[in-house]
Amino acid sequence: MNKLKLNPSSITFLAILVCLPLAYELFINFHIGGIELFKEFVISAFNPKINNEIIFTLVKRLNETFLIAFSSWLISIIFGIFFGILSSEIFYKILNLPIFLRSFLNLFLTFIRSIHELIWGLILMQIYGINFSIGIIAICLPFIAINAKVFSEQIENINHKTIESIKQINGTKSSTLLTLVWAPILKTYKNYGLYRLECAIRSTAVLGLFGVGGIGTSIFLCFQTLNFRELWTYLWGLAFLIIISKELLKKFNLSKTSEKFLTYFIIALFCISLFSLYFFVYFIFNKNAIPFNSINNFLISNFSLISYDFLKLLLETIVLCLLSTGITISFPPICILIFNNKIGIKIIRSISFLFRLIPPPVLILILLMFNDPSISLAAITLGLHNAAITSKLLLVNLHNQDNKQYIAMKSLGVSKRSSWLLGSFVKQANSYLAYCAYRSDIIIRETAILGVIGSVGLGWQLQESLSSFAWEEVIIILFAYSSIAIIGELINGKIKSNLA
Amino acid sequence: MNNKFFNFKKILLTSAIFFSSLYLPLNANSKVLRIGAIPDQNQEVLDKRFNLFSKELSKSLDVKVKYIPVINYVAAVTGFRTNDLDLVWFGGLSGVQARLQTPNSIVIAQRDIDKEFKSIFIVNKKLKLGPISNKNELKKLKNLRFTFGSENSTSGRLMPEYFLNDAGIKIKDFKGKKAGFSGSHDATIALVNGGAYDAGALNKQVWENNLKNNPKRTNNLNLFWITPDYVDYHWVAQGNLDNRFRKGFTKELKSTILNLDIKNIEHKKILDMFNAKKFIEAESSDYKYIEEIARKLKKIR
Amino acid sequence: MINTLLELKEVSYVNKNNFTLKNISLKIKSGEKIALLGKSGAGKTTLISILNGTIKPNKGKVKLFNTEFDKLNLYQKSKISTIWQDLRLIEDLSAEQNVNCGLLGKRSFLFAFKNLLNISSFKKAHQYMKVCNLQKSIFSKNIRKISGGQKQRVAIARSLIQESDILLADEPFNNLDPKITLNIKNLLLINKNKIKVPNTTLVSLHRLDLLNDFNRIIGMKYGEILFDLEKTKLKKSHLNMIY
Repeated sequence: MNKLKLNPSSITFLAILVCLPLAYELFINFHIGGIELFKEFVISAFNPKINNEIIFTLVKRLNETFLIAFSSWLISIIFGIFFGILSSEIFYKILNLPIFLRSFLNLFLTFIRSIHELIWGLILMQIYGINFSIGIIAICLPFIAINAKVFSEQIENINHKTIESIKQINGTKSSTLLTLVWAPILKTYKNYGLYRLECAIRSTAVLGLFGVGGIGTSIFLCFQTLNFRELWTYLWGLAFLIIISKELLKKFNLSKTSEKFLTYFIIALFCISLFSLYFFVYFIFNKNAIPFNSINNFLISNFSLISYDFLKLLLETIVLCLLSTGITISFPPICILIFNNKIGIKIIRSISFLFRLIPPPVLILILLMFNDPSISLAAITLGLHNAAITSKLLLVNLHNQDNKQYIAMKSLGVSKRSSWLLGSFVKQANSYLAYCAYRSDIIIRETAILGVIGSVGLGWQLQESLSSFAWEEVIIILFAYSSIAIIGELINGKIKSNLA
Repeated sequence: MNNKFFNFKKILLTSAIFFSSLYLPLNANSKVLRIGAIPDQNQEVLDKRFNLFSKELSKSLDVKVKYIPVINYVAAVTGFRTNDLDLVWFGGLSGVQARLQTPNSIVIAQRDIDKEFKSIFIVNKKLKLGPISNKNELKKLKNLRFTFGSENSTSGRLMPEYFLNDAGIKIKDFKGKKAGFSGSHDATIALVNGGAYDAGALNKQVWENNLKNNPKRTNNLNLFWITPDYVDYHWVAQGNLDNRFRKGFTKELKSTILNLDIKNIEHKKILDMFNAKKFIEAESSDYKYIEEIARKLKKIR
Repeated sequence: MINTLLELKEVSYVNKNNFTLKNISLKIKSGEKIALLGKSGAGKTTLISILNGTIKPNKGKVKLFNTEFDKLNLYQKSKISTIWQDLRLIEDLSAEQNVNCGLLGKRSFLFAFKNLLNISSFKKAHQYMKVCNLQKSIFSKNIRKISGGQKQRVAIARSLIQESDILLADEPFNNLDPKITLNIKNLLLINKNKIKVPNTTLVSLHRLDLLNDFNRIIGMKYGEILFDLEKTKLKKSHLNMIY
């Protein structure tokens, strides 16, 4: 028998194996006790609450949400590019700096990435109090780190021969660097950066805003009191916002703009980045930090938490991450493979849009109507939510690539599905897997807000410690989160180098 | 070409301006009385309740009053500690936590119903567990899947856990060696009704509301036990209000709240939003045993 | 001695695939037009990479202007320009932007920035591109969208715009049709245009019919220099040695 050869495409499909234990557990726990509530939820989707008052609030909240999302998106892209360049190998090669600085920076960025923006918000709040800007900073921090990773990975893909040739021209180091990274950054921005705005909007929606409200608070409160009709009013409003902002940005095509406008744009961008940098510095040094004595507590606290229970929670979290990453990786290509026709793709598009729109906590509550709480349930919730996101990227990339090979295959008489697999998907498999790799970072973060309701993993402990203001425990848990992320990163790197 | 992007440019500029104006710290004006509340209700209810309340306070105290929404219990407690909120509507546990973290803070008032607050335990019908009269019978809940409401809720978590412990049941005795946190009272009803959890505990008020307005959602539920009385929600204010506004301000504030009269139409609207007939005096000593329980359950360390 | 521009002293190099250059010594003097002959895999590209400082040899010394490579400043280094066999243009940029990249050594950071934004002046680039027989219509086209021969000429224009003293060209006539090949060769060797073209040139080639304007021929085989003589002394037997 031939040995199964591991390559990006086969790994993508192998990941479906996680469904076996998952399906088993979900199956034995299945019940239909919550069918009534589910019905109510679905019907409300088509019958959202609409009156003057709620529309007024909705518009106000959407406004706030968009402002925050837009500004944090812009800041996180600008600084993401900046840190992306700083954490790419080229930077150190061209400037002749020691490479260990890079690993140090990467470790730091992984740490920032692995903590959920909600937790960042709460931590920052401990130091700076209720402040509108905390909302922006809390979203920006992990987003900058994520963007930095995406950009640096694309920059790493520059052919080293091109690097040599530009280096050979012997311009100043800064112009060499800029010339080299420009094209991949622009390309990544087009393929990925615009889509991040949607993420920022969704994230703002989950976060709620510190001291202002925003649509996140509304969604959270409606969900909490199970006011499904209102919930859907806000969710549809959010969907509207996402679609509108996407259309708006699509119109804005950097390569076709006039000179004058481009100069304006660059100046505006420059001002904003300068301004936000100034603001960050001002914020950190000028706003009197409120005495935060738990650091002292931390030093004298006994590490009683590192016990059997803690290890169990840690293990649960890791399993949860692995299972949901498996779903995230394998669901989209399999769904597209099975329903590979125009209508099928459309249906996948709209379903994935819904799964992206509905925040994971709402999703898990709905799923709990049919199942008992378990790791599998939490995994499938996270998995579906993230698969909706990866499927969007996969579909967009498939759409953008030229399908010569697909047509060539089909003309050979190969069936539609096989030719899609061999002609279209194989070319995307590599970048798709790379994207899923950092999606797994986000999954780790998201277990923090999902663990509670399903009572699994570290998320449960984190919320409990947070609400007891036991900061020393919180710190330990956050370190556990980032160590999971760092280990994940190392494994990712190993797999990647093995594939290459 | 330029025309096509005019919109975008405009948006960019306006957002930049907006942006910078929003960066101004919210608490620049120290003459504004900032009120907050733990987010335990629907958005609509919260907004209406506290906007009405703010208006009334502003009218009778002649100061600017602003309602600042917060996103969760932790944020409310922290906001109070960091001096970003002056007057906060806390639950029993969160109020105690906030007062411990904020020296000099003062308990202003509670509702009439907060003196004798109750929680209830519910079970799914398929378990065929009838109502109990003695708390020791709570032992029947052993080895079932059990859910609380929000982690910091007094009625949805702290007191139920205390009564369970009293009856000799630890969290570890439940199925999975853990209890779930549904996040809210309504979610607890939904989850137990749907069968994802076998039993749960919640605020008695919410339960009665659901029985009245949403009987469908409670179809599969049996009332298992009603807890004894305990104190819950209360208004807590910063201790420095007299310095910041004027002498005797705290007293005026207190009397304004206590004098809300159900016979006055304006006042009735507010009291109705709070589900209360009136506000009554409260002392921090009333909440001493909540603190003791919270310490025992490690919610306060 | 004074007009020796580039010098290799007993240079050896082994790369990962065990490909070697053995003990090569070479002096390139100002004004020389050198043709580098050899089969594919004879080590021409590696030699050129060593000459322009991209590859550091395992043994031996490389000197430019009588100074070792490590000690040169950017200005001195920019006196060498290279046309790579695989072109190494930046895809995703337009042809004129790529040509402008050649000016990075002489201009400031702001120029690089403006070039990428497509708002810098392309006057000089266009001048060089015209000289390289490129039509106006492709000036602003994306590199991905033009043909191999056009790309080749863009690469040539990029290296000429550097206005260096030494030009190293690795098979620059690939992909070009006979007429343009002749034009480009004349441009590189006997420049009659107004633009400045490097005075000293080393070109690696395959085609023996193009040897006439060179004044020095170097033959390579298996990583060694087999002969190094003036054009007039080249005999058929030499060529037989390397092919």
